[in-house]
Amino acid sequence: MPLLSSAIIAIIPACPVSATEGTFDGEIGISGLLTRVDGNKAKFNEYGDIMDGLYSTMRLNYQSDDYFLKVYASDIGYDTQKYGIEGGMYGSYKAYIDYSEIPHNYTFGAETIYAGAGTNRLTLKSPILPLSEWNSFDYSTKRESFDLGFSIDKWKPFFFELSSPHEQKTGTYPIGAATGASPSPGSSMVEIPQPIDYTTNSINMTAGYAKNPYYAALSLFYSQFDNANSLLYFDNPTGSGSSFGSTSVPSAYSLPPDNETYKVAFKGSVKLPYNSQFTTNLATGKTTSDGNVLLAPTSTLGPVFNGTVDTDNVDLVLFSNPVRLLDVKVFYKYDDRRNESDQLTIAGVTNDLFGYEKSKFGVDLGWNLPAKFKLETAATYVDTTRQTTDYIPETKDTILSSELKYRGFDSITPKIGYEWMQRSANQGPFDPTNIDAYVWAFDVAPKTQNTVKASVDIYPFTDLDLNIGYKYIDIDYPDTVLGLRGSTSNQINFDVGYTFGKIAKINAYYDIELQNNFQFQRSFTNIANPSTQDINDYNWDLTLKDNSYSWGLGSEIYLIPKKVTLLLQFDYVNSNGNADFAYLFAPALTNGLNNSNIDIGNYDDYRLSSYSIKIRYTPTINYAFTVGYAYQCYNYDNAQLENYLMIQGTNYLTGAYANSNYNAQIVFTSFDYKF
Amino acid sequence: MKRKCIVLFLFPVSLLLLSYSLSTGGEDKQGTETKIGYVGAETCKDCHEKQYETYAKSVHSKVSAKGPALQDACETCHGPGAKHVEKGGGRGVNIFAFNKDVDPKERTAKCLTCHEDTRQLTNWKMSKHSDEDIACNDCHSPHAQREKLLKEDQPELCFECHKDIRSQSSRQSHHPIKEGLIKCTSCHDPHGTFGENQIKADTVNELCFKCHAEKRGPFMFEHPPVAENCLNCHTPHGSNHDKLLISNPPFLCQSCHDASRHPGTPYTSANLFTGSSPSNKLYGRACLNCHSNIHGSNASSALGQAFTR
Repeated sequence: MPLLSSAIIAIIPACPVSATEGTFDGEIGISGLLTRVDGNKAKFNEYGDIMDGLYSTMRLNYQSDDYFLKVYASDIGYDTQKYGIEGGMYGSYKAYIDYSEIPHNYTFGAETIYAGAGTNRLTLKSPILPLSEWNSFDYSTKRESFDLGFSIDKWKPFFFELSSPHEQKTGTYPIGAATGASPSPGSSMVEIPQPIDYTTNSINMTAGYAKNPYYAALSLFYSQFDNANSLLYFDNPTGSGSSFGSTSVPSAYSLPPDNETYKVAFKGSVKLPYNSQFTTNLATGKTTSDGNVLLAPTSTLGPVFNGTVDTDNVDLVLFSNPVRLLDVKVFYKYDDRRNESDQLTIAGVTNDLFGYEKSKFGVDLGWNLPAKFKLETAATYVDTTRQTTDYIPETKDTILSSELKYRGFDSITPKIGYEWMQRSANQGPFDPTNIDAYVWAFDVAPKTQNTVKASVDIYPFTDLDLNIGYKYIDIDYPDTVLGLRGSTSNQINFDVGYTFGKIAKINAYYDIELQNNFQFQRSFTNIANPSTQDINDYNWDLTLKDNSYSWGLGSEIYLIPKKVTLLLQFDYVNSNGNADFAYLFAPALTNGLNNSNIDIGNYDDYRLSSYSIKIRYTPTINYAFTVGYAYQCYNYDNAQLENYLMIQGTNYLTGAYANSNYNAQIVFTSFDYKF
Repeated sequence: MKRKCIVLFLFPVSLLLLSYSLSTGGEDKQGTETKIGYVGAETCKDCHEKQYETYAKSVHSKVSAKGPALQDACETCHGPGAKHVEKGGGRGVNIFAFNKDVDPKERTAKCLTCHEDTRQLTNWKMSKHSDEDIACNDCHSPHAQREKLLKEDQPELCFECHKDIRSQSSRQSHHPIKEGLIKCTSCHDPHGTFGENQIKADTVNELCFKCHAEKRGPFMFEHPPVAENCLNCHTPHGSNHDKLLISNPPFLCQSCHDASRHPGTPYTSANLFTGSSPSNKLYGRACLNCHSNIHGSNASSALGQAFTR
């Protein structure tokens, strides 16, 4: 904050003000809140800092014929506080400084068997403390961002801009580690708080020329990331016999290494004859990291690993509008990621180096047809090759799409579109005894995707606006034997807004998305081929349903026009998921289990209801008083966190994300003064 | 590779040179002739006082900005007003009005007359908004009093059209868009970029790494779908599943991984906390209970390779 204050003081002389010609305006607001939150306060305040207290906002503007200065502040003193100042001379230069905070609260009151949560050394007492004596802490992070920059347009058509963001992220985040003995290390685990202490300093610079028919700009981006903790040390609660050390010798966890990245880019554009324009982007970058390798499972450091990834991006785009009937866009996009990192072999395991090369080209044609029809057609081809010692296929995508829009009606605009996409990929060497021969990762699997979308805007008269949209996506993975085989999605969005003259304004919305995924899997021990099943090798499938609904209703009722307004708002979000399992070899189901009692009916189900009522009184255009009440209720029901246990066998958890339900009530009043 | 890059570099450079030779010079035609048909801002103000006041407060009225104030004020954008005045006014009567009846391209062209020369709008034709015939005044108004002359604040303005995103951003796991802590324009440039979906980066991962710098690596062990595209597993605007995942582990992980032991094992209701055989592969954070370093690991051996340390 001292840095921000001095920077603000420094910028003001850059904007000389003249009281004779300039004008001031601004706004000051103070709000008072009384809150009551029952249940999970972290989820209620996931990105907020709402509590009993006074909140203030301030915005000041000064402008003269030549200069401007803006100062703003909000949520002063809270975890969501924001401050900024921007000033400059119209058409010549502009400078700004801003500071903001973003909290992210995951779980308050988590508990751990360890002492030292928030540090990079987690210690255990032996024997392990009883649950009642575990140490309490919060899973929460906070970003503090400070940014300053300026741009100069004084010597148009030349321009220059620079910004230098600095970000500090601190807090604690849940991770976990397997602590079981070989050959089943995952037979037990411990959830551990990871200390977050990240610093990122970046700089962006662009210099260029912009005047018809040319545009050219050269930019540089540089960013440095520092993690104050490269390792997290923790005692292993499993003790002797574990393949990960014992309570006397700490285990270690590798945390994100420090890194640096830079990117140099040229962007250019030029107008060509026949109402055409050519635009290009040429960029090259490098990201490096270095740090000692953790010789897992010990906490000993090994050789230095030098990570290096080079990237190149090329875009070439030609637009043309040779006749009014037709808009043409021809484009080529090339992205290359080359992994030049060290390849090290430690304990018989060598790291793969993953990279890819993606070439995309296509043509978009926009047809301005008679009678106010517009037809958009596009064809795109994408070729992605991947470099790695493991086999990951080259994929080739073909995408064809078209969209028809009609603007001929006065009060209705319909639109309909269709997209077809096909991905082809070659399977690696086929070994029927290897299960990998049957598995396709969905991101590279051959697939066919059909998308249909339609929407209609209806505005029969000026006071009514209505919109209905529909989208259907169907994805089929025809070559996949094991893995995700298909998914469908149906989305409907409906909106209506109506104004009752000077009496009231209402709006309502209703959104639905119904998502369906189908996976076919194999529990495999000896026989890979899915056509044969036995008690150790059998097939099963899973249908995941993930349905989302949200709707809301809002109104502004002008009780006394321009003086007293009643505002009502209701929003409801509902998710209903289901995991439907089917064993395709009945004898594999034992202990009273059958295909009817193994499903998970509460797969990320939740309901979030929010209501608010407020009355705003504006005696003059300069003053506004508001008083109101808001209520929010969140009920979350996810089977994976249901009946949460902190100790389950030899697994020690911390309560991360558990018990998210809350009810919150807020009474608020605010006073705003505009001048 | 190098050769390919040289060719790719030379192609645009040669096009630039070619265009220079074809260029007509691009000289501005400064109007020195008498302004026939223009009435001046004071006349406009007589009837449109409120609009004039908002114009007078906006950057468009500033002489230093070298915009309408140096040209014909209101009539720079709305065209000469003499006939409009003669006919006694009226919406769109012999005047250029920025309303739905006027072709969006014509409305946009009015703004581009000045703004095309700026770095912010040089990529306008790259924009999906341009393809969709969205006009500048669908989002901005020179008479609006908001930042960037927007008609409404973000994200409400964007949600007027992007209703599917509105719905997603309300879900239990979301970026803090509705909370106002990040804006749509933190990631997207509505005026066009070279990235997919108008993102402010050449690739998805490059964009995500601007805030999530710890995920950049490069790591000794990388998870290929992660290194290629964050959106293989995450959805950016909102999800019903924690961490913006497209599906919950272990089901998401099993979409790609099927092998002996746990990757191929069905984890059903029997494996929940209170099931007949609880499994740490399903309850809590499921696969991530052990494979927490799924974005990359600098630990050696099979433990690093499996992203468990």
